[in-house]
Amino acid sequence: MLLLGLACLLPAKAIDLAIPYLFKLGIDGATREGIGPGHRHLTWREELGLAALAILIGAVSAALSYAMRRLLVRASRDFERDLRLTLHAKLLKLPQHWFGTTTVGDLVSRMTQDIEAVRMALGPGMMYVGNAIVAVSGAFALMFFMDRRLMLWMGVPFLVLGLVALLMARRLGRASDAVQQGIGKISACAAESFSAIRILKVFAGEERQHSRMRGLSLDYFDAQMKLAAARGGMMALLYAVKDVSHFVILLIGGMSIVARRSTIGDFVVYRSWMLQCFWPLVTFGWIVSMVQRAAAGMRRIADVLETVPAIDSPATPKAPAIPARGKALPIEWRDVTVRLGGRTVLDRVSLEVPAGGSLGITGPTGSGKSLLVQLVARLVDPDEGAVLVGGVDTREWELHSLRRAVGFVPQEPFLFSDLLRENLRFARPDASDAQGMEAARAAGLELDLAALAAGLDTRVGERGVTLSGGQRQRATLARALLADPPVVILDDALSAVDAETEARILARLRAELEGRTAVVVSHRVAALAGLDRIVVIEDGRRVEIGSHAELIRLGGHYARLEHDQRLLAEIEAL
Amino acid sequence: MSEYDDEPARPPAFDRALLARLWGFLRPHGGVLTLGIGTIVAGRACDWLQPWLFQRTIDGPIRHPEGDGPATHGLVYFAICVFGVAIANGLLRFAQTLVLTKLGQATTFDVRQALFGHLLRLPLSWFDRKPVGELVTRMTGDVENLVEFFSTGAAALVLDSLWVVVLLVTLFTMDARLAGVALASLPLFAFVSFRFRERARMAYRETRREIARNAAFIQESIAGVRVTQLSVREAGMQERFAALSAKLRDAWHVTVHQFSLFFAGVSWLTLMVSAAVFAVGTRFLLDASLSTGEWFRFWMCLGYLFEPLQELAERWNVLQSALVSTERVSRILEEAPEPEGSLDHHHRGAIEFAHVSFGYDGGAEPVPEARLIVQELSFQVKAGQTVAFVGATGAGKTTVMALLLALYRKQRGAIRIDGVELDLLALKSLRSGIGVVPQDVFLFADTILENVRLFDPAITEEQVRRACEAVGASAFIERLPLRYAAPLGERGANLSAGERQLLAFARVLVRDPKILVLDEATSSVDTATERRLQAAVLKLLAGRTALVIAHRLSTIRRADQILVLHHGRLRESGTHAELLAQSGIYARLHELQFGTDTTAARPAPETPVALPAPIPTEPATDLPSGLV
Repeated sequence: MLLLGLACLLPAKAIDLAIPYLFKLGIDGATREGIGPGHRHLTWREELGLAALAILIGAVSAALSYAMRRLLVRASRDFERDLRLTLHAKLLKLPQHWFGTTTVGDLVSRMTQDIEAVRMALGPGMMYVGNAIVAVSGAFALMFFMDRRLMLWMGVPFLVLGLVALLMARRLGRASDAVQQGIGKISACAAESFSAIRILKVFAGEERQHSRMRGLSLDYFDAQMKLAAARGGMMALLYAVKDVSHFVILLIGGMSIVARRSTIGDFVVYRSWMLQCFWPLVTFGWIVSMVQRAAAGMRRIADVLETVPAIDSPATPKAPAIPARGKALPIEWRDVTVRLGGRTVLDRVSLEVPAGGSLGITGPTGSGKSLLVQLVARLVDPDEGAVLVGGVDTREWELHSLRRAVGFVPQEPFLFSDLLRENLRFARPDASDAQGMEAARAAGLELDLAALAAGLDTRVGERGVTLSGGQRQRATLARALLADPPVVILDDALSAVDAETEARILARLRAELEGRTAVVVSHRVAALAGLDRIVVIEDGRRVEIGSHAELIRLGGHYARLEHDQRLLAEIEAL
Repeated sequence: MSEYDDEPARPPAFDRALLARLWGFLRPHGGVLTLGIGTIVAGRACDWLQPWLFQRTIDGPIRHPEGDGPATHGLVYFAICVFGVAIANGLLRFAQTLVLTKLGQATTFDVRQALFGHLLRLPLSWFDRKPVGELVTRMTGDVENLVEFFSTGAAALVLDSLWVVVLLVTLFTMDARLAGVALASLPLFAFVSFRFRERARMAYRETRREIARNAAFIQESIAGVRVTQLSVREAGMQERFAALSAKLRDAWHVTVHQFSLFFAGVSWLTLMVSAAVFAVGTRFLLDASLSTGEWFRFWMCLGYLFEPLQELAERWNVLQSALVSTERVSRILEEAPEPEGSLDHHHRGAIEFAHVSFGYDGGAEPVPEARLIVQELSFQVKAGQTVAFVGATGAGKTTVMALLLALYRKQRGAIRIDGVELDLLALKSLRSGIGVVPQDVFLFADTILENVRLFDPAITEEQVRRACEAVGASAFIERLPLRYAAPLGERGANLSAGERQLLAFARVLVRDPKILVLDEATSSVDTATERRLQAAVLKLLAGRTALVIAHRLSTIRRADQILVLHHGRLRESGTHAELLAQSGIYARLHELQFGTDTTAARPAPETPVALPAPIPTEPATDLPSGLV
């Protein structure tokens, strides 16, 4: 498609260069200055024929340039989509900790702006370069045959223009970078002011912030003026070159006419050709900066594409297929140590949950309890030791089978901007509405559903209904339950739900968890009390383990937690 | 599916009030505007002269070289004229770019300043309802829209139309018959050009919707990648993206088709008009009713005629989006700023709350009883006293502080400082007389120096240094390579919680206010830092009236008065010992937070202990979090 597009360019430009020549013939045939062997005045009929011919071949040229533009730009759009799909597929494969090293905004800009920059260079960039090369070389070649002296003189302004455009490209680039930075600073200052509006008011700092903004705006103004100077210089040069070329045509061409070496018609031809060379050259500086941007964009895209996912299925997975419904899997942490950023977050932790059993995990914020359950779904891998699900090391499982077997409900409840129904059956797209409602009931979502006018057809998220944190948590729980996994993990998944509702959900959940292995991370004693065993993690170490009654008797961290929460409930009730 | 359409359904075109406001922005820069118009007109004059010089040359020295003097004299004379015009035109273009940029930038500089200044004066309750991103867009995107209008749109729209008229008049005075041909083609040209561009624009609009959909999907797919991976739905997401991006590609293909058609169509149409003028022109050349020079001049002018016509549609769009932005900006400028009195008062430090009730309801009255955060609150503080506020999270402590600072306006009752009603005070006088240490310290992306003096040039570096020494912040500051010039990252990520607290103390101390509002941090810090913080708090409290949301036992014990808030009401008050003896709410909170002497293995009582997370009620209320 690309080659075909470029192939259209040659005949199209050839015709564009030929049309002025037709006009020249006509003018020469209508004026007494027209000279040549066997010269005579053309009849008006002949003139009309020339005009008709011009329109006719003009139509061919228009069709060709339409085809060229369409082919080239389309090809670049196809390429853009392919690259975007490749990048998206790659991102879906990368592990959690990799996402921690970057931001959503940065990745979005790679997926959009960077890819667009590459596309621009490939599509329109190529088109303009091709245009410029064909037009300039064609026009100058023709001038060479018609009037060598004129060609040489015409070459001078164009050479100057090309060189200066090339030189100015960097300066223009720098100036426009400065402008970008300027608006970036204004935007950052505005964002900071509005986020910190309270502190500004409290410290009566509005005027000072205003004068800060004034300073930034003044800098921006200066940057804009510098850019205007560079751009204005460019514009001035362009127009001067165009008009100086007129001067060359008039002087050199005029002298040729006076010397009877050329004709008035040649004026028409030279001027047309000059203008045809001129416009593509105008875009020259723009193309240079476009290529620079594309190169930078491609580097950032390649960075992602070349990342090897640290967590992936082994070449020969060993794990069992997902067990049938009602058949649970045991979980074992065997001497697990995890280090993040040089800090030991989990320190030789060993734990076991028998198939169908339940385990509660609690401990202070940052103690590593969440990491412990993330290991089970292989969101992270242990640095030492191993996590076994169903007796098989998670690293030997086929990754997708493992995650299908583990229903993981994270603390931050993420829902897609879609219908509630689609969100609930996200992990199991073939689930029926009845099954969806059942999962919603188990997760304590049925009252919320009843309150929503559209029920399962409610659109949630950015452009839909905003659900409360608790509602979203219940929805994510329902989503996990609907997939019917043999292992269920709640990573502090009901933190935004009030205690009463939580108790109600947990009571109902108990039946649902029958025949599954369950791990519940929570700060709340009410959520932990009914579980088989409870472990307390502090500073990455296992400090207490036992049933609710045992831990209360022990009088340690867990007992304190229980006491404080009872007291707080009492105070609330006062 | 208008939901993804970022263009307003109906642009408020030709709203006279809006046009008047646009003109209002422009008027102070009338001089620059005039200069800009001058450069454009002069540039056009150059464009106009060039064909005329060609005509004179062709009909003069070229066709009649046998005139007086050497054959090429006249030719050289005219060529030099052409060269001169060329240089002048270049210089004029340079000036034009500069002047028009200046016009656009100077005008929007004013708009930006006015907008920002006004925004800063709007009440906090207004900000609670506006996402920061939207406000930033007003300050950047909308203002930039105006730049484009002022620098390339406004003058050009008028002048381009004038230029077309001048060209037409020129053509008619040269040869009315030929000009008739050109004029006849104009409506056709304008129609086709407008029509094609309109179609291209519609196609592009559709494309933009798809772009927005794709961008939203990408954003969400990345944000939710963990859910996708955990649910093993990578294939499904990729499929959805493939479908979405295929739609985008198809939309692009339509757009490309339309634009290619537009470009090819317009260039062919231009050729047709040229060919018609050429054919008719040769007829007049043949019967010698038109001179060669005239024909050539006509030919050149014809070229100039097409340019502005092609851009007319574009300029129209610029005007429309400028109007949309003007409307958005105007809406903010019309918002009422924070109410305030005019009294300048130097606080001595006596504070009184009398039957104060308040609920966050965007100012709507009356606030239903159930939504009142503070109810019938009355208390008095003598100058120099320290009052500790105690209560579970959500009891209304923070709101009391916000009311004292007039961040929100009470619905009922009265708040007085030194017996003066708060509503009578000028906000600047009220707030600059009160020092505030918030629980969560906001740090600006600037140096330590600026973060302490908060960009107030009246505070010297020496004063900042002394304040930092006094609160014990100098120890860590001196260790930084750039000391007071050390830049702090966004939200001060490179400072520890304790260090940020110390900076917040220094912020207050450097201003030496008579009243202090202190929201003690609950984040745990190491014992050494803790000791430093306590010493610093002592310094802060000395000689000031202090309202403290206390988490440290040492602070509470030292308080002259402890007020226990519970669900927005004052439930208990007195000294530490008195309240403990009552064994009411305070006694239990005290036990919860600091334990009883009998409970072993408690954290040292001097370490602040966060209250366990309160049990949140549902649905999540949209209360602004924290004091600052």
